Amino acid sequence: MSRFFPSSGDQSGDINEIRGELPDKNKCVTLLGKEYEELEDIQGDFQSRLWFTYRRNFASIGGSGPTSDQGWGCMLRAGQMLVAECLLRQRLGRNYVWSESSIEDERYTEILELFRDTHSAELSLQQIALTGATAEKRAVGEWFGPNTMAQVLKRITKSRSLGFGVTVAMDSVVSVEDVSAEIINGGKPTPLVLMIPLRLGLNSVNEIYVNPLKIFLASKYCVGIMGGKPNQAHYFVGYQETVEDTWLLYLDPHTTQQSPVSVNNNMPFEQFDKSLHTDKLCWIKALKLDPSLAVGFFFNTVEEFILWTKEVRDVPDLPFGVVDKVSQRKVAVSSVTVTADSDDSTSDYEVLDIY
Amino acid sequence: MDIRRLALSRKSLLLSKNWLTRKQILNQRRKRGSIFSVDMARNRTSTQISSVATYVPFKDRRPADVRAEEASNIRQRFPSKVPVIVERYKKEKELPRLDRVKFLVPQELSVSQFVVVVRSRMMIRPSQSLHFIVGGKQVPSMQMSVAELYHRFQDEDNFLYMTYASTEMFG
Repeated sequence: MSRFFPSSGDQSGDINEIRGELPDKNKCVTLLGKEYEELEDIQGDFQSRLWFTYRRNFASIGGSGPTSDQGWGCMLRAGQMLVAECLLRQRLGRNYVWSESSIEDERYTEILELFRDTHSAELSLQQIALTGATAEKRAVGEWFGPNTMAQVLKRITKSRSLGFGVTVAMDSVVSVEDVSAEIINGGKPTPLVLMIPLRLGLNSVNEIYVNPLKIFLASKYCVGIMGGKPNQAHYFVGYQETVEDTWLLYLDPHTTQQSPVSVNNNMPFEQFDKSLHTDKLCWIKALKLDPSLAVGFFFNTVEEFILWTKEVRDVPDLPFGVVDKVSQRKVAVSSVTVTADSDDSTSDYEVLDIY
Repeated sequence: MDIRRLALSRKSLLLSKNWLTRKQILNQRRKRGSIFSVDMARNRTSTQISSVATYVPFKDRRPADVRAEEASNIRQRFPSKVPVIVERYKKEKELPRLDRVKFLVPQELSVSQFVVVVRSRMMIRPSQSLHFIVGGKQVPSMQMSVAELYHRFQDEDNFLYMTYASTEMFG
């Protein structure tokens, strides 16, 4: 054995990321509710997801803004990947597999058109950046968090013209009543994406939340997780459990490609489609994740949503709450301040009372 | 080595200097990101931050035994309430600091109800994220009563510590 290439066992303590292969060739991989054993099947399903990356040379955002999202758009791209997954799920089903002839299917090409880097495309980077600026006070070019992205998706899908809505569970609480009402949609039932922004620790992910994350990704309702490692957003779709670690599988937007609608020439559709797929598996140890993330679930009906609540209610260390009604959360409180017996003026208590 | 080759290698060296290393790019980004968010935080919360320039965490103000004594005194005065310290995460830039960090919370109040109360104390948009971590590590269970949470996570000084933060930004 060459002494320049120590066996991976010697280094395993230092490796936190793996690209292009499996952490363990002999273990199965879970990918958005499906389980695989063969590398070929894993890659086929992984490659069928839509992969959005930084792009350059698109028309200036808002007329005077940036012409590339390199260095700032990664969370926006992760958001596009999640909403694209919802569209694929709804229009082509979870079992669809991408091939070069997919572009002959109108249902598929219609999805792609929504993401072209133009102001008119409903889910373009331009739309997302500008909606973030007006609704969430994040100037064009500013970084987004998972919650910002979820809020922007909620706003963009408000008219339900895409065929589904988005709701965001704030304060880590899911209200069964509220989510059901969103699906019923005033008598015109529409599918709904439930986004749950979470913070699984202050500086790093608390290890007790790795198991809930795995359970989310194994759910057939899951449409992925917008998160990342510190400063870099990723779109997480699966996991593999090895002897020592849990590895999360993700699509990485940190590659800059030519925009399909660049100023000088438009990219042929076939080429645009190919630029939206990758078979390069990217893995990161679950414990190396940034604690801020948002997990998405897609429900066609209220029944599906209720089934899901039953699934998650029993998950140990579930990092969010499920309450029946939002009114359960409202409380009228009166508050008075009392001073602790001390000279310290900052030591006043606010006393809460239910009345 | 002839001069031409030397010149060539100098040129390629110069070229390679123009290529930023991944670390440099990250650092640049980090800088830019933080400048952005600090500026934004300043703009947004200038009215709320008021006079508090440097915040001394509750735990650093007085020694543990003094805090423990205060906790037991206040528990005697208010036996049906739980003493909770609610502080902003030290790296938090989006959310304002609370004017008052010490709460006496009715023990039957649920955690999710308490979160609503704390949120109402901040002037933030309903769509802004607010997350709590209890005891420095764990997400509090929202269905739990505050008394239960206190029982499980109270500090050695008999206060319950809750830290709040929004979500991080990514580039």
